[in-house]
Amino acid sequence: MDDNASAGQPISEAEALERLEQRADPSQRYYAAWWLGRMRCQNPKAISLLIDALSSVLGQPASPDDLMVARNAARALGKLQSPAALASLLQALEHSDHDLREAAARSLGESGDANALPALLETLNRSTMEPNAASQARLDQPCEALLEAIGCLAKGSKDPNICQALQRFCQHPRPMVQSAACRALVLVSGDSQWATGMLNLLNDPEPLIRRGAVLDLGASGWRDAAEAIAGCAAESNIKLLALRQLLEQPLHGPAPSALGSQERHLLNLMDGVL
Amino acid sequence: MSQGNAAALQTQLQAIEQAATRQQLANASAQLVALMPQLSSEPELQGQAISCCIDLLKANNPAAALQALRGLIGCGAAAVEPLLNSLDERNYGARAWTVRALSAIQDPRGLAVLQRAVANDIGPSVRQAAAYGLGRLQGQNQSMLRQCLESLELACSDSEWSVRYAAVAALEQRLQQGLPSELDQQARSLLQQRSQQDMDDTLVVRLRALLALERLAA
Repeated sequence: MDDNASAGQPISEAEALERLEQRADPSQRYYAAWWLGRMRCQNPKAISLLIDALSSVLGQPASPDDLMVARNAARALGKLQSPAALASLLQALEHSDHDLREAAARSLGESGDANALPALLETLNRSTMEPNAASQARLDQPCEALLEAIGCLAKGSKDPNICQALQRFCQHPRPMVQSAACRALVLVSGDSQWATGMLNLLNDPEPLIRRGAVLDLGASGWRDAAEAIAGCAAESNIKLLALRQLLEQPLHGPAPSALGSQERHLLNLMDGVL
Repeated sequence: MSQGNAAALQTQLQAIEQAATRQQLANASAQLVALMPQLSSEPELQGQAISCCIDLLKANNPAAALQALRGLIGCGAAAVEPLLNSLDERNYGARAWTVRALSAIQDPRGLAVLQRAVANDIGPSVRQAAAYGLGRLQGQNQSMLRQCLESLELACSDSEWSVRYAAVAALEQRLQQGLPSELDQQARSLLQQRSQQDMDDTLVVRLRALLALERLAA
């Protein structure tokens, strides 16, 4: 077998399945898991191998190599949106490894399955929001991923219990968590008053935070944010992506099927950031 | 006057050289760029400022690079040769800024660089900037227009949506400025294709193509 096989070269589906199934070389498994998700592989064997790779670290001690493969398997399962993966992903939210919990939370958000909501909320509520959280490498829970997933799955539900749980995180010591909480609140409540927290962060001195706020506003679908996004000091490709989301996934109503005055306005703003 | 400009330029170049933090470098760059309009009648001084701006594009400091980009765009045609000579195949970030500058300056000498970027660059944002620039190169030279359309056709089938979006906007620009009838046909049919669901899976690209067709019909 060639030496750079795991360095991102094109492989076939059969080869990817073979690499994930073998146990001798974890880096081959790691790459194969990523590849299957990236290619949106719908082969049932891919899903069962990925679930196996994830389950093998749940409820029992796992080696760092197995954990690394399991994280990629969890990420891939989100992209494949298989209902069969729900139980393992939910169980992974309880794992001691922060990054595995994060991958599971994101994938549950992508799954579109509202059955995941109670577990996501419970995990979020467990976060203690320590005052020194801003300076820690990792939070006690993957708050951003959890907030993002809850926003996706409860969009438009106006559920007061969910909104209450989310509001606590608008005061989080980390600006990116505040932004994620505001985004989720806009999506769940449909009320744009929560967008203010994101709008304020567009002027943050830190470029990473401005970038995050631009993307969160875009994902909220609140179209009145378009000018503020276009005028933010952030990379044009980030602004373009956020404006695209406002256009394609408006907060209220379905994706547009024709050009209305709002769509024309958004397209003009997009041309301006090219 | 020239003495005063020379001294002011030396001060700014020194401030850039001595900047110790990213923020200081960005601030010093902004001051250099503010001085540049005064240098436009003194080619030697302007050349020094241009070459400093080009170095700033390579400094891996987006805030400074953004300033330098503004300065270079302000110099227009005078910045084109130095930019073309500065292209560094190994420095992805700097190449992206260079393509962006050439796109904005709209000088037809940038054609070959923009074409190469659309065809080969691994960075989507570089291909996007190049495609947009192909819509704005000045001039009505038939051969240049044909080459622009060839590259825009390629950009229309790029795997990255933002490159296709930029190509659609560029095609509209070229059509608005007028094309010989054969090229006009080609550009319109590319827009038609991008507006159709079975040809493009990205809603925003289809809507942008529809907007272009609508405005061209008006």
